[in-house]
Amino acid sequence: MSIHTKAALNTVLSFFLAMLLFGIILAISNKHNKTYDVTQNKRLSLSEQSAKLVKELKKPVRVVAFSNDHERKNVERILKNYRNANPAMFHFEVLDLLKNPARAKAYDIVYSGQGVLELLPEGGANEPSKRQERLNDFEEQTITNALVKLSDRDSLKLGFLTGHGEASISENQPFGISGLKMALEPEAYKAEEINLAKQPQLPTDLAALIVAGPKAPLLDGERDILKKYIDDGGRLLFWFDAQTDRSYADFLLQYGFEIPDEIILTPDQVGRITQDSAAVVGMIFDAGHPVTKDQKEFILSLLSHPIKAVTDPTRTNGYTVKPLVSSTDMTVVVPTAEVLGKKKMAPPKGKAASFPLVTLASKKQTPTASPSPSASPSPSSDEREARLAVMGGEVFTNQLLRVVGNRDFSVNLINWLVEEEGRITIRPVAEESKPLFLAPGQVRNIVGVQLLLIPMVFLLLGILSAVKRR
Amino acid sequence: MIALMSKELRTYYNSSMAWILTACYLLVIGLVFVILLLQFGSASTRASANPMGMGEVKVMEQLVYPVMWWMAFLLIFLVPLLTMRLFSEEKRSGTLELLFTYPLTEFQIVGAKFFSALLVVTMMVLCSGSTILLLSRLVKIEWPTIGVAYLGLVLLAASFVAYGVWASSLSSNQLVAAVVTFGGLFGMWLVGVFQEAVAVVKEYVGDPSNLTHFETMARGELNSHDVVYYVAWTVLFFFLTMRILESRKWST
Repeated sequence: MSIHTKAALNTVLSFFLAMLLFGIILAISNKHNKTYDVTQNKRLSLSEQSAKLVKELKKPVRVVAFSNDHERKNVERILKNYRNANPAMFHFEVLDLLKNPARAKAYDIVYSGQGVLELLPEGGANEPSKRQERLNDFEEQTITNALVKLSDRDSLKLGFLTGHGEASISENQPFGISGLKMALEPEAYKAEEINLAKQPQLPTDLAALIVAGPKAPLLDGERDILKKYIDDGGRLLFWFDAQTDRSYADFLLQYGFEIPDEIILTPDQVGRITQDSAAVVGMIFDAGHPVTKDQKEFILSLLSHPIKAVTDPTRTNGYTVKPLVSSTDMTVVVPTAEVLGKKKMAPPKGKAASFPLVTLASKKQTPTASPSPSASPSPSSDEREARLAVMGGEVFTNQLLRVVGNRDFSVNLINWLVEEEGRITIRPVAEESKPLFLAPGQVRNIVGVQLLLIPMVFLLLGILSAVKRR
Repeated sequence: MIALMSKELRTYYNSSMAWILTACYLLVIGLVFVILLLQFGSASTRASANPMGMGEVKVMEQLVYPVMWWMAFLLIFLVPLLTMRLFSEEKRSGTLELLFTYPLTEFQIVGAKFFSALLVVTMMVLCSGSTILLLSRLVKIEWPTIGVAYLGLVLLAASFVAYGVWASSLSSNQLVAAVVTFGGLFGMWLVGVFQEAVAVVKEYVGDPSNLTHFETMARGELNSHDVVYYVAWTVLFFFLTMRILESRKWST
């Protein structure tokens, strides 16, 4: 073999070795990838809940996603986040529906953008698993929700009282609360409606009862059931609506909540307020409370009563009552009838001040009849802590749930009520909206600078250098 | 090496090629920026009429990311023009042998040509930052995301230039070098578009396309794999260029 042939072979061999080494380096780095999300609100990362859920997976799961080329990268990005949290237990495939009709048929998938989450079949076979959850999109909430269902986590039952004009969890309209139900499902909550006219007592495995803006008063028997539930260490979230019957205010007074028949407004709203615009901002938080200590965004509450904490301990039946969220100190109160248009609105009498929007009460209770062990995730003895939260206005309806910090606040408040403080976190949110309004003069300047001035400068420099060279 | 690098830089800027390419690059980026900015302004006006729709006006996602993507995509067309002459011209005019008579190693020669071309591309990319600076005066933007996006842009440029230098070392014809560079870079972009065709490769080594790695960085996600990919790609073609130049010893 000539020296030229040897050298040529050496070059070819080194070429292939370099390519092989390149592939090995990429394979190793792909397997041990570390990700840093530098976005302001960590919007490209998984929420703590989702990450915790994936890390706790005991059986391997797989997402089979059918996506078109346009959406593929986004779908892969979200699924990669899950896989990175637990590479051993979370697997995924993203397939083109048109190129994989047999697999799509096996999973009963008709459209791109759908998929399934399934327990990984033995040996990772391509056949569909018997245990699977359908995914109608690849949003984090949908995938986490399916993971909760598939991982057999014990769901906590939340009862939503009905029969008195309350907001409904099956109502998709702006005043419904179906959005809250959807927000709670990924947290392993099971929401169900409870009508005390049809069932004479509350389920024993109820983690918390939510009374969302009732209008009609409770019947005597219903009131007794509710009182017994609380006295036995129950958990109650009560939204006191502007049209809620005043008998509820009397009921809640025994637990230390004083609810004047007034609505909180900002001074500029007085005199020109409508029911839809009587929103106040809750931004003074109890910084030491688990629900609000990490709350970054304010909450918006519509038609909000002040929920004052009774300070005289002899009137609270042993409950510790304290405000959780208050309005700014630039708010005033106006009689409810004036805000609802039943009377002409007069200038507010009191001075501008801060008023509590959400107030909490708690007390250790010994139940008269022990509820089911699944009713509460944590009690180890017979003694339970009754926890109550009363909010003076609309916060978690569909029209307000996605506004600023309302969703996080509402879900975290329920987590606290059921003593699941470990779940309390602030979820990553989408990029903050930043509108940009351009004046005609600004547009002219931008066009002038970007399309004329800067390219012209470089073009002139090019011409100059050409002239100089000649 | 520095002397050779400055000679290469003088060649770029004295021949006005670098100036004109920079002007063209900035003109296209400026045009993209202005169009997207006007669209974003209209979307903001529409959204302001509906407070619930305000969530749709996202400056980083709808304005900064597309502009950064175009900055990267245009490099597919510009880098071949900048790198085509690096070795092809030397080969054609017979000065390559002269170059090897200098007291320089192959590493230094390739390094000087690579870094001079990379410097020109980096200058172009940095000048295009005028759009981002202008935008920052109009609306609050996320600087850490911009920082990671620019890091990605420079790493992408380095990988493109390394490939272009290698392509230039293959032929004495500048046109052939440009076509090989453009074809390769464009092909890699297509690989990123039609990802399912390379699903098996992707399973083991990640995205094979250069531009796909940049896309994640431009959104504000810094992956160690993306950085390793660009560095490994650049080193690979740097090494291959050295081997090609070395091969002249046994081919003549």
